[in-house]
Amino acid sequence: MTSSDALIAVIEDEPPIRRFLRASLSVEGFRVAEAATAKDGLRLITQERPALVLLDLGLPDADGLTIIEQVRQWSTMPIIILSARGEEQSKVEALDAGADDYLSKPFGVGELLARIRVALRHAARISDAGVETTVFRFGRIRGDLAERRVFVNDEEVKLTKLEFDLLATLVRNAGKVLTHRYLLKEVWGPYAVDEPHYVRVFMANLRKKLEPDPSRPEYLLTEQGVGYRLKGD
Amino acid sequence: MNDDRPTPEQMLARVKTEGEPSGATARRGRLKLFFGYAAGVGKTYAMLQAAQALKKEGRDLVVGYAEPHGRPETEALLDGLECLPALTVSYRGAALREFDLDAALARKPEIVLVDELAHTNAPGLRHAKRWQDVEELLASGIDVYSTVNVQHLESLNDIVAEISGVVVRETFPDEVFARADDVALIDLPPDELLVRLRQGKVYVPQQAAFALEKFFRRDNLVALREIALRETADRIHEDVEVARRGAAAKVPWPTYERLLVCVGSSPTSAKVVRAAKRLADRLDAPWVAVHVQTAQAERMSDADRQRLHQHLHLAESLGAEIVQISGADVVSELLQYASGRNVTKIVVGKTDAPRQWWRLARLSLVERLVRDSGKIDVFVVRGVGEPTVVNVAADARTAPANLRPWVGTAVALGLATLLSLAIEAVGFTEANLVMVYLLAVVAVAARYGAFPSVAASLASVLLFDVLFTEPYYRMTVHDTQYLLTFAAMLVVGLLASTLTARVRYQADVARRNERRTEALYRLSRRLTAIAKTSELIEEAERTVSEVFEAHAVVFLPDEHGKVRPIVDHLATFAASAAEFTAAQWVLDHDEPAGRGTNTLPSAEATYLPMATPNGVVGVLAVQAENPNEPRSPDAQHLLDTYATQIAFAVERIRLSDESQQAELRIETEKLRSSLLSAVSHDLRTPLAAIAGAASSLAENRDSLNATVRDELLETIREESERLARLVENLLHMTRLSSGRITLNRQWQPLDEVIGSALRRMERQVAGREVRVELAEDVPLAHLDDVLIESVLVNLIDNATKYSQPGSPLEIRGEAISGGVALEIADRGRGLLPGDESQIFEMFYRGADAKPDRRGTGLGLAICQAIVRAHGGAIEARNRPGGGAVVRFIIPSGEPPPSLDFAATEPSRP
Repeated sequence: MTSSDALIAVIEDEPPIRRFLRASLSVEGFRVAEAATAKDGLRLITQERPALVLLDLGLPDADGLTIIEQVRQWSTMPIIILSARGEEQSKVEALDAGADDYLSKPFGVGELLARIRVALRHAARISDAGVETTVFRFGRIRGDLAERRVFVNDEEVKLTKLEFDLLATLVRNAGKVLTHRYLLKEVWGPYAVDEPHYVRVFMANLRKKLEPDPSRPEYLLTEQGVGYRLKGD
Repeated sequence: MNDDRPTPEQMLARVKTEGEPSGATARRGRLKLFFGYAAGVGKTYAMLQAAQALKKEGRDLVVGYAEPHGRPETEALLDGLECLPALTVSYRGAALREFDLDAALARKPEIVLVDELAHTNAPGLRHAKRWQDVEELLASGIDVYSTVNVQHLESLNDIVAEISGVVVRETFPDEVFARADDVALIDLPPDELLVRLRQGKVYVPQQAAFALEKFFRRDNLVALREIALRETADRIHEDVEVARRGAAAKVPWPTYERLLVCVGSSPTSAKVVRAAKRLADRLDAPWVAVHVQTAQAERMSDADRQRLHQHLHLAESLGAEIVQISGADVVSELLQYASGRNVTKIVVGKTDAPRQWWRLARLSLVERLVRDSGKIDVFVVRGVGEPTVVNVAADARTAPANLRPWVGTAVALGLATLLSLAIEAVGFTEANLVMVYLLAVVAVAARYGAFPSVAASLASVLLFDVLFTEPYYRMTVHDTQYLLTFAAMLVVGLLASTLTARVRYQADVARRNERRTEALYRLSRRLTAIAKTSELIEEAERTVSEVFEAHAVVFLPDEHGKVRPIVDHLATFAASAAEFTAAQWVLDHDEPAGRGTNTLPSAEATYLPMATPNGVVGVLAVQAENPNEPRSPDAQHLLDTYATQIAFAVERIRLSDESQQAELRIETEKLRSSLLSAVSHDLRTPLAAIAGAASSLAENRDSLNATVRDELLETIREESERLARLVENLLHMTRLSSGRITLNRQWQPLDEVIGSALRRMERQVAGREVRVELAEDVPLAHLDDVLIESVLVNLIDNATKYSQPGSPLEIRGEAISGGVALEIADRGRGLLPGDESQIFEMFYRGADAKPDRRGTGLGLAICQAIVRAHGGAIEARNRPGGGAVVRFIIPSGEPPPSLDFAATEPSRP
């Protein structure tokens, strides 16, 4: 389902990481264009119009954040940021600025390709809007967004309105990380963005109702310090 | 006390003469004085000649101020010398020319010439006297040449006045003269001086013209010349002494003498003080000026009190130690103090004034002193009254008439009369009536003091006479024996009142002293207990304000050496720039300034240096609530003591801060080096594994079978993950220990953080049963999720490391009061004895640590640091049935937020 010859821009200043990305991506059939600085990266993006950007947040000449902000002025192309563990705050900033997802270094190829696929799929859905299906299924959980019903092992589970809204937002962005702020804004409205415990408490309730072992969730995953992700595929 | 060790005073004197101040302070400038016996002997001329000679040698020399006196030959000598322009100060319409101290300090030449050392500066200049300007020049390392006449020497002031009949107002302390490095005597025979005078070659200030005749008499000049020569000779003698002592410290020194001078409020006291100073100088002895406070002192007028303070100040400025003692009897107190301090000579003044009639029968103070002094020599100096400048602020402090004593007296007498009438009616004799009245008189005396008791005595006599003796109701007495009764009543009344007044006064003095001593004791105790400078300053300011009824502000220097108040004060003197200047000056010069001193006297507050042996640590500013009331010398001394106390406390805190910093630096250094060695080991191991596996894969690509290849690949992956965790731990540790980290605490359910930690450790816990027990009632926890996840990851990592693969793990969360508790338990080998206390220390790897054990020992230390940063605690112990359990508590600090929002249906955007 991925356009296998899609062009992926890699903006990263560390040659070993670039090499690893180039090798892994070309094996999967992607075309790869590389840049080592923010300046070259921006030029690359505007000239080549890649299908997806892998962006390191710590570039030598500029903050990766500025690239996101500039690109978002004219394009919705998916941007996945690469960043170290322990820099959660900058990840959240980048995501809130319009990045689609992130990968914490060190990461494995599996994780990388999964993120790329999710991002490309989302981009495709945005471009031909309306095709969105309302029925979803992951593992033993299935449901219908239009009917507002959820089943676990074919047994219907009662969700409150907010719990369902939260689940629906996750389902529509399946596989993609969603920040606390984004979820608060989507589900609770713009005035709740400073109350992150709302999301946490409702997520805990949702897990209790949907997950077989709520303290070791399989689907409703926590991205510590960043937000949540509904495990895709 | 007669040992041959040098006394501190002598050592100090020597240090000063040698001109080598201890420590790193800059060299003090040298002072050369051109010293003469009268105006016109050629001091300025000689000074300028010396300057010209130095100029020829190429020395950097500036004329700071010279009175040319309009003489052409003197003016000619100024030729070719660099002169600082004089500062023009207008004062009461007149333009006064003054020496520009700041210009000289800014120019900073090698030598500055400043004429007329004893000159009094115009009001508004920094110092009241020019010799203080000179002191400041010397202190900043500039050499000074100056001129002075003998009559300006403070201790010679009254002798000169006596000889010449002219009172010299411009004086300078003997101390300055004694400390001068060189004194050049400029001498001219009196006859020649008189010739020069007649030729108009002697400059005489306008205002002194009337004294000309009186002053420039031949006999006068001869006497002055003798004094000047004698002073110079004394100095030379001293120089010889110093040289001798310096050469051989063991040479016997003159017997140890100590002088005591009695100081009072009498106008003659100043002369006695000066006489004592001269005697002390001659004997090379330390001297003490003592004032004995008695009951009379309480009744001292303001003018007297101020004069007393002036005398004590004079003694202090002449180098005496001043002491105030209080007691009933001057002579016995003096002698007791004298013998306590090993005083060998007492100097006391006598007056020419006729003795007051009621004292005729008693021995005078001097007579008693001479009689009782025993081994101590008594020097009696004839005192001459001299006008002292007394400016009592409008002596309007006459207290409003207090009627209470008189009402009380009337009541007492009324009661006595009623009782007497009753007793008489019963038929008692008159003797009993006398007793009743006597009782009333004694009661009045004890309660209301002298005047009411005298009045009561007289009134009782009258009442007794009128009411109880024949003829009744008339003021006549038939029986002369009653006269004796009357006299006895009067005397008893007076005695009783005197005695009670004395006792009361002494109690007052004792109480006041006790109060101050107690306040000082309290302050020093409190100051020792305080560990923060700002709190200390606040406390000190409060105490000083209370004890001295004044506003007190402490200034401390900032890192640039500029003073600033530590505590914020609203709208007090501490806010004005002029006051800052005064405080800064005090800090830089280690000498008091401001109101009541000779430096910057126009300032609103008095500024005292807070000094310790290591230097000035700050400035104590005190502004009396009643600025017109001068501070008494003992209050002044007490204030100095407070300043010193505060200084030591400030210093103590600074030193302890510094030592803490140093300790911290050492700790950090130790941490860094052990971290390096531990980390390099722990980095090397996984790196070696990765490098080895990778090279094996690369070189033996074809010969490796699939299983081996997978193993190698798995090694690379596992070891990289281990490296990543190690790096994360190091990152957390450095951030935590440098204090750079700020917790991002948020309310969240415990299961979430446990879940994400378990997901990260999925591979490590594979094949184990992991039981998570979370009670239903566990509230939201207030924590930094990233850091607490790191704690859990480390604890899970530890548990897997120290237990058999496949053994179960348990994670429990529970509500405790004020927070939550989490436990990670394993079924491993448990803790060894000694582990519990040390296990959370950095680089501790267990009591049986073997070199090949994996891990830095950093993990638990980080857990502890993170938990403590949350305000919580962590502990490890063995669990029943084998294995270890680590429990940590995260307090919430505040109650969890309500979840009421669940009920309200929010609007969708």
